[in-house]
Amino acid sequence: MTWEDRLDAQLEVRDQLEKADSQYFSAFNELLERTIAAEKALAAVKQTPSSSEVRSSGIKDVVVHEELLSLQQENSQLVAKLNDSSFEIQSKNARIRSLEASEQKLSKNIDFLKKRVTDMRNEVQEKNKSIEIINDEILSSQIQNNVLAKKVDELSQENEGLIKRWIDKVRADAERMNEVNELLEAKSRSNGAGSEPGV
Amino acid sequence: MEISKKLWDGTIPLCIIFSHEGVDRELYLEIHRVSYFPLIYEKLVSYFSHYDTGLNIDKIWLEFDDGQSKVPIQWNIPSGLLYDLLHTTSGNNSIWTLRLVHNNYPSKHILPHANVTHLKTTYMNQIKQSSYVLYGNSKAIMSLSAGKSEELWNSVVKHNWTLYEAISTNDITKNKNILRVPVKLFISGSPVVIQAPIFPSAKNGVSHTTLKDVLYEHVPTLFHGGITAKVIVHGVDISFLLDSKDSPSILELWKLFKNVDNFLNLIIRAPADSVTDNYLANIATTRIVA
Repeated sequence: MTWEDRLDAQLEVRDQLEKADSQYFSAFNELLERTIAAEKALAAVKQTPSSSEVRSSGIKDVVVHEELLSLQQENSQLVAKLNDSSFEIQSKNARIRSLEASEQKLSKNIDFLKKRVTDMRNEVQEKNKSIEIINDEILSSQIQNNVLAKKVDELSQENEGLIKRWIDKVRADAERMNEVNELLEAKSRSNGAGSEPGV
Repeated sequence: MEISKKLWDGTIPLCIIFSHEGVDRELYLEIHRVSYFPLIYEKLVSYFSHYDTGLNIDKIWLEFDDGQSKVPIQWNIPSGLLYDLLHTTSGNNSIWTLRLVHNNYPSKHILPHANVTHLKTTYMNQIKQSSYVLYGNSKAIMSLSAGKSEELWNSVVKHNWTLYEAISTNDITKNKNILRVPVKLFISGSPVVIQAPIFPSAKNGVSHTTLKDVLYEHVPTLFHGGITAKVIVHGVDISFLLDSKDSPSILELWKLFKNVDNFLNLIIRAPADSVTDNYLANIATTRIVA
């Protein structure tokens, strides 16, 4: 509840108390005004001489008094109506101002959001470009990878071949060495059997 | 805007008693809160002349019996303010009984010549004074054409808000550069009225002056130390604004509650024991008192 709402509620309570008998006051006031007008008119009639011509003028005065009273009442009612209309206009003007302020705020928000959308679109475009570049790089890397994998395979095969050749060579060398050793052993045994021991 | 309408349309119920030859005659009528008593004097005289033809509009006044003494009503003060100040002190919104008196005018207590012509002069002086407080000069009023001045006064007499608001907005308060806010603080139960310079913004020039700031500066002892004084304006208690988080500035309150003379009249209703004679004497010596 805003302070305006609270104040409005308090004014409502005030008016309920202070205007509780307003209708009777209004009725009494109307009677009072009529009485005053009638008394004035009566006094005017009484003051005039009793000739028929002047009396008729006095009666005319009474009618004029009544008309004046009626016009005054009408004027008061019109002023009250005008006040009500003016308050309504002021209230609506305030509402218009508030809506205009709100519209202005929303327009600013829309402009801000539009700018943000444009920025985000540009950002997305930039990101798309970056993604394309990355895709190209990935593709190129994959090709490079494939080439390198192939090369690795070739080198692995070559390596295996070389190892095999090396093992074969080592094996051949070992076998030859064994053969030579056996031969040397056999020769030494045969020499040992023909000569003196300890030579 | 509903609030503005309620403030303008507010009325108070009156019972005017006139004694003649030992008989009390009563007249019941309503008067707008934003109005002045002399505006109904003609009606009173017209009605009561039926009983006493010697009634003279220049020699009558209204008197209020507060139970202890008879207080002449100050006709230059708005009627709603008098009602709140003298009648509704105990939260009583009933019919206010006043006595119409004539002869032996109490010139020592109230301004003389309580008729519409003098009310107009007093009103124009008041509005010049408020204009001076607002802008440091009374050009806005002094430069009003005779026709506009008459229209302004007629709007008060006829209670014509449309006319009043048009002149007020377009001629009197069109200058938005307000230097000070015209505020009068009435201490209920005493004749003291404080009129001090109240600036719309705080000294730092950034924050707006609030009702709390004004009261804490000018009547601090009535709002401290457990004393719960009330602030009354147009018959409603606005003390809740002191603790309200969305409390409006004093300028906003002035725009909303100002009387037709452009003064914001606030009634400070404190417990009787806190408004002592010493306290009032102290205020009278330290503040500008009307």
